[in-house]
Amino acid sequence: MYKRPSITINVISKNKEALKEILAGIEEEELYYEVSECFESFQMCAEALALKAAEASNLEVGIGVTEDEICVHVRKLRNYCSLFKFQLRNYDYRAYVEISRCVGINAARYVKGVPFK
Amino acid sequence: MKLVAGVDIGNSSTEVCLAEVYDNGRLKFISSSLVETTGIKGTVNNVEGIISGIELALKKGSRIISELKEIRINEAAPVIGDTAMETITETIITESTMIGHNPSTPGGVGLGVGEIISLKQLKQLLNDSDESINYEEKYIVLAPQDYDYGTIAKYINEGFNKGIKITAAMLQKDEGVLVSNRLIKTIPIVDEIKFIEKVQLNTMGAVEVAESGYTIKTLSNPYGIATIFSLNAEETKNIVPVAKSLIGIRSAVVIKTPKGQVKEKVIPAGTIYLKAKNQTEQVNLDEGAEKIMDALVNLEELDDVDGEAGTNIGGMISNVKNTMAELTNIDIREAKIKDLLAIDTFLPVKVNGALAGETFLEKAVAVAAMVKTDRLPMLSISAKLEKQLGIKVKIAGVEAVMAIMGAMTTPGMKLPLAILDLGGGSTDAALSDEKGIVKSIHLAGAGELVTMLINSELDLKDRNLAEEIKKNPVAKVESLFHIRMENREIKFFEKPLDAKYFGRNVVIGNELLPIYKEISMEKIIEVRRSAKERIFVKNAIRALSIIAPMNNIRNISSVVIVGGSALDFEISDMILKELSKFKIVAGRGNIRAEEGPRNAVATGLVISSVL
Repeated sequence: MYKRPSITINVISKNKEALKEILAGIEEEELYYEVSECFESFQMCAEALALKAAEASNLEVGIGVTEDEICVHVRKLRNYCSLFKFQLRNYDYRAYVEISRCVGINAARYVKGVPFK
Repeated sequence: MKLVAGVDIGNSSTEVCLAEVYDNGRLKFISSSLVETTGIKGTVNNVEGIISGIELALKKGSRIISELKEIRINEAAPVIGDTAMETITETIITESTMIGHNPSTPGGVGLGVGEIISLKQLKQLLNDSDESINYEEKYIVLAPQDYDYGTIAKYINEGFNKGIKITAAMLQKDEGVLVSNRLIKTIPIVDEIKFIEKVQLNTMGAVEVAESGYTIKTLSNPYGIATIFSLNAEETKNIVPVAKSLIGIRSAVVIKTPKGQVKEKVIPAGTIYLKAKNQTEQVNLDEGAEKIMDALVNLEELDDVDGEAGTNIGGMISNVKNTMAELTNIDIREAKIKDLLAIDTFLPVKVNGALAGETFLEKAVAVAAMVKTDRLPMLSISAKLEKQLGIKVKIAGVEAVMAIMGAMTTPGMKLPLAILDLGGGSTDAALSDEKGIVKSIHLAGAGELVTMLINSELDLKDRNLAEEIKKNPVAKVESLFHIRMENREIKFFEKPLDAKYFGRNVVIGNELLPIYKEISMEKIIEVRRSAKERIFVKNAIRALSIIAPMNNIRNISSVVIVGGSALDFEISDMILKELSKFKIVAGRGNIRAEEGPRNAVATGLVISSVL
């Protein structure tokens, strides 16, 4: 089956707010996404989730979202550390919303080869 | 045998040449060094730099200071240069008449014309009864950042459903695509409008977004705007600067305000007075650099230059003279400007009245001026140096003569010989005939002016970055593991690059320096090369023409290029190319067959000890 080139997002929590902003960021940069709920992997940290998503994505970019962390990883960096990682508890609501939006935008910009926000 | 050091104090660098001098006149060169000049050339502050230069050369040659018997310093050319820049135009957007910042992700496509209303006003319209609404009216909806994309789309859709003609939208947040994707009809949407609150509501506006990859057609055309707003001939003429500033972008907004327009004012920047023995030429700075340089050519020999009192150019010229007068302990009236180089350039300036932070390139004139007097106080430098080190110090000779002697050590040289010394503060030339008689000239405008032009034309506001861009090639970071250099070569990295480099242009200095400004690589290369052309190539021709026999540059057969700026990866080639048009053979010197174009004067100083 033909799958559109998309950024895969692995979610293990009901962190709806962060996810919504991430998706908005990707959409604004005119790219596609695919959300995958991985509740059985609830012990995995955001970085591991993100890497798994990157391996699954045909754009080679993945985002992991847990209750408290969001992380962007890319397949090329599998032997190194992730591209971006944020602990949401360190920020107040407004900042957290802005950061989640930026995460989506920058994940898309990585694909496009454009400088990050 | 005695160990001798030759020291050349320049505007930017101090160079040392160390050699063993034998009684029979034989010379054995040991080592050389290069350090930054401390203080202004020709002042006792230079001593600190001289000493570190000497120590470095000694270390490199495995000698100790007690072995050094004589230090020879140059009779530094008593010229001091300075640079300044003045904008001569100013653009003002009056009454918020247009938005042309070209956001990266506008929404929708097409041209929408209508009365600008806020989202609040739209909400009110939605509540109005059907009879009170004028369905013929067209609207453009303005949404500030208080509203999220979902809400904005919801209200606009409600408007569509009610039959209200909404033709376009303007947003404060970067959400053009998000809103557009949720609308039931496609309309053009311009986003990222920073100062949206300054837009006058209930005025007529036009929004245009071109297809991806294309640029706008209507708003960049004065007749297009005239058609939309039914302008008369006079109004159309006034709208031309607006249209002009919207050329080549993907999206824009034009608002019809009563007196709105883009005004380009000429700023009175002051008058320059060029004085020769029998005549004075006067030029207004805002007439541009070409006019000033043309006026200079008309004068046989420049005696002095003055600037109109109370203007920036007046201030700059008196500053340069003041510095010189202080240095040489002479009256300021004795300090004369012997050369001036004026260059037309641009300065990106934030436009007054812009709604989205737009910058325009304002015309500017950059000026380098050079002051000359009889002698610089080299005696006070030699006295202090002798006292501090306890070694005999001699002021050995005129810079130009020393430079020629040093240049002669380049394999393949013979007299007559012309040299071009490209430095940081001045461009110098010297010509020596078979008998050893030397003519020399010092011109304003060199490496430091190039850096200043690069800094302002790329709007870097960072002199160090400008200096690095001048000296090194640039590259684009294409992935986290590789960069593509300007010559199309690719360089890979073992470890991934930091995210801050991704997608950016970088300068390949000692380490990668990211350039945060959104400028294309082509633009950086163009500005870099153009600055070097306008200053060094121009001054090379000027200088050689002045010292050439009968002022005809074709009478020079060969030129050796020396000096710090000769090391630059592009400048020498540019000069070579230009000089070949006059059938002149030019090439970079190779002092003592190993230094390249550096160390000419220092080497010459050492050689002069056996003559």
